[in-house]
Amino acid sequence: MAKLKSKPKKAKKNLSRRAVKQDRRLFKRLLACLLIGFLLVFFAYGAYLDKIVKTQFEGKRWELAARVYANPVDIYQGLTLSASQLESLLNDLHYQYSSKLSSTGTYYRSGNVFSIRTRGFEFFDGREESISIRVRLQNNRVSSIRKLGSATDEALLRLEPVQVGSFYPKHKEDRLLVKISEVPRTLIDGLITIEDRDFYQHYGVSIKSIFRALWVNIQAGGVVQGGSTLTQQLVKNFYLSSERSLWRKIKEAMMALILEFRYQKDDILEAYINEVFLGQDGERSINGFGMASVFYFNKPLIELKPHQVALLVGLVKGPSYYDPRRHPQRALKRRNLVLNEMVAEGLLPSQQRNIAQRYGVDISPLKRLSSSRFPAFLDLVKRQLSRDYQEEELRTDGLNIYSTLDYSLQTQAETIFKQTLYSLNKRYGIEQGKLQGAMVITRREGGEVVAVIGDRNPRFDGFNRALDAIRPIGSLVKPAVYLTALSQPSRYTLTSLIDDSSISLKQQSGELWQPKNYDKQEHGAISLRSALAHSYNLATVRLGMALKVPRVKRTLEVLGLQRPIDPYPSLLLGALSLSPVEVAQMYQTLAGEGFFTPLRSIQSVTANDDMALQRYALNVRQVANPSAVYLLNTALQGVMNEGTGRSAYQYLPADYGLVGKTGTTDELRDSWFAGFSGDYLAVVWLGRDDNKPSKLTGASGALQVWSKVMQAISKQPVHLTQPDDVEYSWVDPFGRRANEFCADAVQYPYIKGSAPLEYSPCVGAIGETLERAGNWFNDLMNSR
Amino acid sequence: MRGMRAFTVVNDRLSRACPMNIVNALGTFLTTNRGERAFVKMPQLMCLACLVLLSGCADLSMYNQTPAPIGGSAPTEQVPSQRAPVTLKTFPLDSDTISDYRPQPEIQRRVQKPAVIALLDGAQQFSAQGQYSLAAAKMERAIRISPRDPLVWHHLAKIRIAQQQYELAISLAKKSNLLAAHDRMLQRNNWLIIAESFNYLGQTGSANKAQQQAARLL
Repeated sequence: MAKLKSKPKKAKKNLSRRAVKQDRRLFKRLLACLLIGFLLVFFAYGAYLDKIVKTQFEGKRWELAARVYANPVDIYQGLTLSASQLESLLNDLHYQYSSKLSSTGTYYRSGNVFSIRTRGFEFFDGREESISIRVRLQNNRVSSIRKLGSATDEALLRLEPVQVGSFYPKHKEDRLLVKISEVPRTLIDGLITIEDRDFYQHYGVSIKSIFRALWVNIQAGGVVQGGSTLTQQLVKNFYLSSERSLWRKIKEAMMALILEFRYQKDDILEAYINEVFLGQDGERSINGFGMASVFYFNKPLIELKPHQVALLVGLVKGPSYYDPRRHPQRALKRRNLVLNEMVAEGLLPSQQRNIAQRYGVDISPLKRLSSSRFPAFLDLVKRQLSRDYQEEELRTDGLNIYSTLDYSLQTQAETIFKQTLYSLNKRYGIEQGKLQGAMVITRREGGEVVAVIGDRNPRFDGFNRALDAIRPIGSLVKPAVYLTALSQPSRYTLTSLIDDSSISLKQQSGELWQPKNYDKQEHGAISLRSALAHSYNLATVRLGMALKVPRVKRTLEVLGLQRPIDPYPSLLLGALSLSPVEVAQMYQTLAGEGFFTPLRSIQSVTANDDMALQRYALNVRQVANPSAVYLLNTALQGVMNEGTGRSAYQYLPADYGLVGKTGTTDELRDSWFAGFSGDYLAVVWLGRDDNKPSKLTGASGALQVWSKVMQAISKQPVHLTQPDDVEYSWVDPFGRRANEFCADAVQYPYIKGSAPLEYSPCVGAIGETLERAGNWFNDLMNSR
Repeated sequence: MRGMRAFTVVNDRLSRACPMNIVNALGTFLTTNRGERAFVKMPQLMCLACLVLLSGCADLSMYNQTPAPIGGSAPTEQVPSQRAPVTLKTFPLDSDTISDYRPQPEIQRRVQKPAVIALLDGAQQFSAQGQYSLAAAKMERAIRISPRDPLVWHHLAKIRIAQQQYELAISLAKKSNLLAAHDRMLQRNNWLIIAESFNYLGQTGSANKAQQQAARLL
């Protein structure tokens, strides 16, 4: 009992001890539970972070702007190219003058001989390697292209294309991805010296670094080094917001550890080099050393010298504080610090440092690499691309878009266009700044668009008149009327007489339509050819009515028009509204001698890794009879020789054989010209946005711009290919068959069998017999 | 000008039918005696006589040139593409080998520009590997350099027929034909491409007509 008695005491003691024990056990259990819970959460969170790290690091890391390139220049023997043109091309491509050709992207010139060390470039159809080459010019032509040290000529030299624009992601980060293998060693050394000395030793976070940074900063009396590793910096930029908190710091450290655990040092470094923010250009942010190199030095990263690399490395700490354009002294000081640190670390020979420090801040002038250097052309590119690519893809996939733009031609055309519009505006007393205009230039064969201007100020990115100004085309429609006629050789030839006399037609509205000639005269019976040359309205309406308007409409469709057309008689005089680019498409079929070629502004598209994605191939389709088109084109040569287009020959050689047509609308609201030389087709529209009269006819306005631009760009006179079933025949002024001995007889082309049969009295009986014998012989030859 | 053009036409015809020295002699004779305007009629009449005298020589002078091989129309072995752009959307790259329309004595290499020759060679290599898209890209560069060279258009037509783009091949061959005025050999080869393409399209009537055109040019 005593035991029992004493028990309660003991029991009490025991109980309390047990309670404590139990408490402890409970506590331990709880602790263990908590720990397990924590670990579970920790690992779950770790796994969650791991997934984030992995998805983004292995997926699409960055949204990359699409880059649009001009057509690369092919240089070959015989190419017309002056020394100044070649030099300006090299400058456009940011080649540096260097007598030693010390790196890629350099050249030197001695007179008409250029030595060039090209940059390699990955084209759609294969890579062009970097080579050192000598280009010799003679009489403004390329006379030889030779690799340095070689005795044989190269057939072709293709330089990389000029970048003419970009389609940026919404956040406007611009970067040019570089591979770690393309990064100069000095950059990697510099980065590691300044930002993270233990980069190759730590596991993502470095306690040593933090303490060392603290020590160095205290010694220096300011912040010289940061404590975060490169990996942490990458994580911060890449995955996290810019908020500053302990929690974020922990998250950052964890992610850095994960990143290091999963990936190689070089992968992390490469990502860092491409990610880091290094400057701001208006709305565009400059990210990564690849883009920074172009932005500050206008050169690819690999071509930078040590002092330039050091300057970029110095920028990492504060791109706006050390902005070399705004604060060159700060940038210089920082650069020299980088160089000194590199020497101290034994990563740069002090001799090299001394050389590097002699340089000032040799930043290239800020060229606003505006996304809209050629806004009207880029607009066309974008619209053509939008058929195959989503807006999102265009802005984020880093596509390389190889356009058909001819950089030098577009630039020349812009200058001339601007000047001519300015002087026309002044000369004709048009309200200042009100004369607007647009121009489209294509290659005569193949339908490639080489230049587009959409505003009197071609650099202005606004309403794109080349594509969107839909205006009545006036007499530009007439070739379609005459082509309809000439396609029926049994009824119409160039010398068929048509009646240029007044006509009134009842319109659908019941109103009477009484067209007039521009000179308000009637010209009686005239040949089809001269009716077109002088752009007579009455003759054209009569011809069109005889042909039936729906047939003319059909011809317009055949020539490439896709817009709905109302087949009213007024169509015959151009009551049809089109944009300049649509007119270009229509005239392209004439320039292509009956072959329709869809206009193209893009050659090909490759992915960011240069993988070929899509090619926009040349396409042709024969739509009109080449013989009828041949006749029409010779008549349109008449327009230029003796008709409304004469003044073009004030600028171009008399034997240039230009083909074209003027167009003017009521009260001189629209001034049009469309036509081609041997190598280019161009369409010009001038007028006012408010649709008030512009005081210009097609000849006094648009043709002036056209001729001046053609004078600058065209190198080939027109050669029309005479189809096999077209023959030339002598004709007297009354359209009767004559021969070369008849006075006033002229030769015109006829589709075989359509030449006039009735002989002119001047031929005489003997002549007639000889003529018939000749014809018989010809038939014999042809039937073989 | 017009007289000259007509003369050139006649002269071209003559040059196919008569030995060059006679044509030249004729030209000289006419220029000196009658001036420019006399070009047209006289050669026709003179040539009537020429033709009677030299009726046998026409075919000789037309077809005895030894052609340099270019743009091989013979079937080629397909090599799998090296850069094989798998995602290329334009057309399937694994199309058939170049169709075996009867190999013709090829056109002599009359392209003057070495640049164009280099591109033709490059295109041919790509074609031989079955990389027609790249071959076509090369030919389009050639068109940019020499836009009115019928041979370049002809070769592009051949690439398209190999890719089974028959309608395009027909148009390209027709375009080449237009530019190849008076080059009967090239025209004939173009008509053969056209005939072949129509055959593939199942349009036998048009194919036969094209075949006849080709035969006429033989």
